[in-house]
Amino acid sequence: MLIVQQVNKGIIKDLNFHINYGELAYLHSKNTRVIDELLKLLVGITAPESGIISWLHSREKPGCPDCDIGIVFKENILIPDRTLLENLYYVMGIKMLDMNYSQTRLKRILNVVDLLYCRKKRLQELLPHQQVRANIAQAILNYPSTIILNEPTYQLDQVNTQAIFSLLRELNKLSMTIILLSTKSLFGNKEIRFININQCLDSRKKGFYA
Amino acid sequence: MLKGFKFILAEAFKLFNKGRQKSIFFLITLILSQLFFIILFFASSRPFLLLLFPVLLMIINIKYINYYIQCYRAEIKLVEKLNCKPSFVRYPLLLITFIPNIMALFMTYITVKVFYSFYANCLSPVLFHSSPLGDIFDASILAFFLLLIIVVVILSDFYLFLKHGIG
Repeated sequence: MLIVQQVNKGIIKDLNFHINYGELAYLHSKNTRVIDELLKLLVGITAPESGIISWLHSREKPGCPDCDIGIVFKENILIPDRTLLENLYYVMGIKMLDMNYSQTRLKRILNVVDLLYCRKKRLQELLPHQQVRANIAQAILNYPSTIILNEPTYQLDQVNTQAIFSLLRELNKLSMTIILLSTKSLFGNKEIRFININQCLDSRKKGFYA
Repeated sequence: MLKGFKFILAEAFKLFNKGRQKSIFFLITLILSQLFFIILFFASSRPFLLLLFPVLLMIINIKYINYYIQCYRAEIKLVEKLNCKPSFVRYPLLLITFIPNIMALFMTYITVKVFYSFYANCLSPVLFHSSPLGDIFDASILAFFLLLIIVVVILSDFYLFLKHGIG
């Protein structure tokens, strides 16, 4: 469970929200800087000036490579001139994951993200939506309990965006907590909990009289 | 520990394959420069000339490692983004610089040894009717060069790692 309580950092003022374990949450703000700042706070790259961000799980310690949070960045971070399988091997190596049964593990993960058929393709040969799936695959290599995605669908069309959302819903069914950070509005996805950060920022002012 | 070492070796090998031509060119340059300095040193017998050797070696090494850092940029970015240990990019780069340097040193040593023994045993008695004075290029000089190379490689790599933010 993630609790963000009265967090202040830069342009973020008095941010309050919570996300339960196993939830699929969509954090929306029109301001890109707010999203970037929030990602840094959640991942543990920067500390809040005041307030509390607490992950109430057993293994989670944001900011370290072996932590229980997978991160999908806005841009592709995988190596373009290596194949998908080589990329995932490399990520397993630098994350110091157990290389025993790595073949089985990688096959299973590629099967989940529906990329098993292009495992021998180089990253630069993949389509944009396949690159997003590949980045999701690198994030779930150590079977984290939480994934944070920073605008994963910003360069995708509506059809591919929906396909990515259905993949995330499938991952959510495997009891992963999924936190989506985006500047795009969310339409027609009732299963996803929508949190408007701008409203959260103003929540103290609105609830003041109550 | 062993798992990490295997990974670093495999990465260094992949990196070497990426810039194989550059590595061979670098190796040849190193051997030629070392031979040049040895000949210069023994021909002129002025020790201060030996001071120029580390400077030249450092310049060559910096150019070479800079090329590999450019090749390895995607991996560096990935390690940085995922908050992993920078040693996973540092050690393969360090290894890829050390191997040609040490190889060049030993190849120079062998070449000089062969030439010297040929000169001392075959040419000198025939031409000058004198016996060889002894081993000029002996193991102590090799050890000195080895130490010098280790210092130069570490210094040049350290400078570049700091410059590119990998240190």
